[in-house]
Amino acid sequence: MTTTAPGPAGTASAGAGPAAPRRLPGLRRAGKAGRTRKTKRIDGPQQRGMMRTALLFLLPLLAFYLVFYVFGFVFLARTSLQRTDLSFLDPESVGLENYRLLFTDDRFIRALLNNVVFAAAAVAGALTLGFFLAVVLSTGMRGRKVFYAVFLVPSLMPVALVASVFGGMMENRYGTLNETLRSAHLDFLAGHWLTEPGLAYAVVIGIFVYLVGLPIMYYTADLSALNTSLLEAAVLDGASFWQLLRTMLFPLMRTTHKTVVVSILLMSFRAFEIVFFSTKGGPAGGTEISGTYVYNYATSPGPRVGYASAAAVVVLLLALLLSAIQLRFTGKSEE
Amino acid sequence: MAQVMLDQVSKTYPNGHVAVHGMDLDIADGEFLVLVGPSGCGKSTLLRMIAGLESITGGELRIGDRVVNDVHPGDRDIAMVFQNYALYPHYTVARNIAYPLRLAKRPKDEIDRRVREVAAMLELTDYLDRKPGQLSGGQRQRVAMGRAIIRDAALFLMDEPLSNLDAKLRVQMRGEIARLQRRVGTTMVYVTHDQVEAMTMGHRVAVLKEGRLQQIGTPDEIYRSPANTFVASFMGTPPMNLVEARLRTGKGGTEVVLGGVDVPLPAAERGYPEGPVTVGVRPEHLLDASILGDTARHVRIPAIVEYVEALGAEKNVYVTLGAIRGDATSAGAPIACRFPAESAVVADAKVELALDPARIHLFDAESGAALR
Amino acid sequence: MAETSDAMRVLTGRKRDRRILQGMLLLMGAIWLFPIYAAIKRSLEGGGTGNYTALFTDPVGDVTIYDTYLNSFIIAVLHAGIVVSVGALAGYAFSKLHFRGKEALYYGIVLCLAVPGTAILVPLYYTIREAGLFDNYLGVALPEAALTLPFAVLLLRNFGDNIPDSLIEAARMDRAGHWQVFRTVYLPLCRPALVNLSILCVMWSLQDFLFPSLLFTDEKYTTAAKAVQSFQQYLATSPSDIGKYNASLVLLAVPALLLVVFGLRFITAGLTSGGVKE
Repeated sequence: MTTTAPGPAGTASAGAGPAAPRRLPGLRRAGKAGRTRKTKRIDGPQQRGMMRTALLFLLPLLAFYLVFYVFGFVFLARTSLQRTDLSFLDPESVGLENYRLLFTDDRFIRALLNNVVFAAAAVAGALTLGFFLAVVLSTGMRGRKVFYAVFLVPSLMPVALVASVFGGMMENRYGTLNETLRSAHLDFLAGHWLTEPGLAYAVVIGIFVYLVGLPIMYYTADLSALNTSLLEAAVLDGASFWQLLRTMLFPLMRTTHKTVVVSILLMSFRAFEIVFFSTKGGPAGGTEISGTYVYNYATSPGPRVGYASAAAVVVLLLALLLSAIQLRFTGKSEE
Repeated sequence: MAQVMLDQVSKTYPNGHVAVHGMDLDIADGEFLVLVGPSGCGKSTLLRMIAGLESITGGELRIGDRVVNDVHPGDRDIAMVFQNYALYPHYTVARNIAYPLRLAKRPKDEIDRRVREVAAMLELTDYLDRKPGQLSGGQRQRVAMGRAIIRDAALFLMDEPLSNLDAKLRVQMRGEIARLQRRVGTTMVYVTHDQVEAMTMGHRVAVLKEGRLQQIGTPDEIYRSPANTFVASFMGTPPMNLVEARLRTGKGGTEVVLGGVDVPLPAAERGYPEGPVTVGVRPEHLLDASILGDTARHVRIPAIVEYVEALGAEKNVYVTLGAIRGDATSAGAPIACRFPAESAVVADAKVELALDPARIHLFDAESGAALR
Repeated sequence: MAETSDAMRVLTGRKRDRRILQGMLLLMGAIWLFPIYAAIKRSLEGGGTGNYTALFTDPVGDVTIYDTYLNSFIIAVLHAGIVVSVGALAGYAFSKLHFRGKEALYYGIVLCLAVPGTAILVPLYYTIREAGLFDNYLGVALPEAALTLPFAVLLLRNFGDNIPDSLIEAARMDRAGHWQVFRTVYLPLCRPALVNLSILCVMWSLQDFLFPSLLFTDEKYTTAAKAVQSFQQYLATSPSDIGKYNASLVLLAVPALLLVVFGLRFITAGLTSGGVKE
């Protein structure tokens, strides 16, 4: 999965890829050169001038942050303590009641858990399948460009679209999957993909794994920068392809593994469309994830917006925590 | 151990560029062969073809008694040291050295024992637990050697292994590698662009240019009788002086005019037809007549000193031949001479050079091939 | 180049391995293409290619396929324009200016990379409504830009930090003000990064379902991504329209597909930038 998800939207866009800042030069610099340079170079009045200039350049960005993040978070936190609907008229203050309800709702807990499970499956898929495909594609196989596109393009399409196609394909009676299985006389494999709890779960995982394009992209980029003489040395030392994978390539891609893991985890919070357009969270909330949970409450009629906000606050805190941990360790691994 | 035979081996890239032209080379069992040439001469490509890292597009390559053109590099029984050492950054020194044996699934105690032996031989025992990133350049170089040695491979290939070391270490490692090769006795092909390494390390030297073999022979042969002007000017610092001149028949037999002086050629070199020729003289064969004393066999040639490089033990003196500056015969680069330190020459002064005609090399003026 | 590919080829050198790998690749490729095959196959059920042409001529709900393309395009351009201009200004400050608290601020900005769109849905709804931007292209482009800006800052700083300070200083010595330096030195040098960034913005806009679905109430603003849902409501319910619905899915993929096919180089460069520079 990658990643990226989707962009913005729900995905935020940014996400995506981004999410995985592989290198944060800025942070490193903060600690070292940057600071000394700064102090050396600048003195009082000049610095004040510099500050003013910097503020001017940052003004538009700060305006965006103030409106969408700072105000947004405050508003969200306030709403999470209220009982209200999307008109936001006559909110009724309910204290921490929304949070109490939230943490006693099995579906919410399950949604968070599903987030983790789906992300874990996607990580597993990326570290094995994604890694493997990237390596194979880097070795100059015939048709590599076509294959690369086949694996990558679905990850760059609107997720809503991909999930809808999966949903249609998995449909019980007319779905292409079951039709194909039946025509191949494999009827026993045809199943109620979207309505049987275990199968529906598997379908969602399947979509997560299907969107393995961005990890492949990251690995490919890393592989193309790899010092090939290392691999040549290992080949001459007698390593077979499979031994190379295990003893050289996998350990050498360590930084990229981290990037992939973090980007998938973050992406799983945004992977709302994957579920929304395939199983719709069903059956019976079995495949619900945090994104669909919040969305469903926020958009359902009735005064449930406060409750949705409380759920959003929890999700937000988890995502930010994850991001902070990641920034820490990218910042550090630089040295 | 094995001998290596190249029979018309060539490499043509898909874009039509020919990196190696039909190359014939026989490398004897236990021999240390140095491939030398300027960058782009195809020496590294040739080495990588022997290793199997580049495909061979023509000819036949034999290692031992089998043709290996299509044998996977891992099955050729070759150990190679790369220019950047190619140490596995995620493994310790011990694991790096042990890697080939572990892949071969050798028993653990044998691996341990061999790693320790090799580490002792290369003075790496104290560093076995370090990662490559924590080692100095010279230590890394030795780890790379260790990984090659431990395999008991039939053939060692080295691709400019010393070029990333500083000058002092390079001198030291030059000796160590040559000694090591004598000790283990494995056939070795060593690529370098450094003519000093070529001269000092191998049993034989193969000089390459633009994908073609120019000359192969012992360092001595290459130095003393270069096959053409390219080899002559590639080996030696400063390189051999090459001067355009004319052969003619004078009273003393065949002679050549240098700096306005008729230099009679020794008997062996007579009998070439008159006409243009390239004359080659090594700097150390142009002597300072003023400190030479009287000798009959030397011819004296007037010259003007352009500049002097005092190196301590000796002086490189660059001169223009002829009694006056701007003499027509002196067009072109200054002539280098190597004088002993006690020579008193100074820039812009006149000097008399002494040359033993037997030291003169003659090359065809057009093809550059040696006339012998 | 020839050499590199040869070098990597050595990895799979043995013929048997190579054949196995080629086989696995084919198998995986077939699996990955199956959903596409499924969509195309079903899109021809019922009306054949007529399913496609009908979508261009007969509006579904209020819109034709063309309208959704146009709506998506307008939002994508707005989104890219906002992100590139705001991001470039901020990137200059973070890369080339020195001021107190810079690193802390940068850290805070980049931290918001992690914010999921669903989590700020409620405040967004309120803000856009209060700003009177419902059913306005800007009302969707602005929140999209807000979510993309942390990435933009990250990307541009990674890029900008590699522009030598000496260039900026030389211009300053020539008495250029920061605004001039920004316009005449920084912007031209950042062009590759800005191009990558804008292509990514367009791609993310095309992917965005959430904001258009929430912030547009009038159907005529339906974007290609949102149409996935609205067309489903109109078409997927009756079995006779199922072919048409699948045809619409295929057509809705076209803008993103074109972008990815022609812009893959920029997308890859943008997403992997910051990594793999050495």
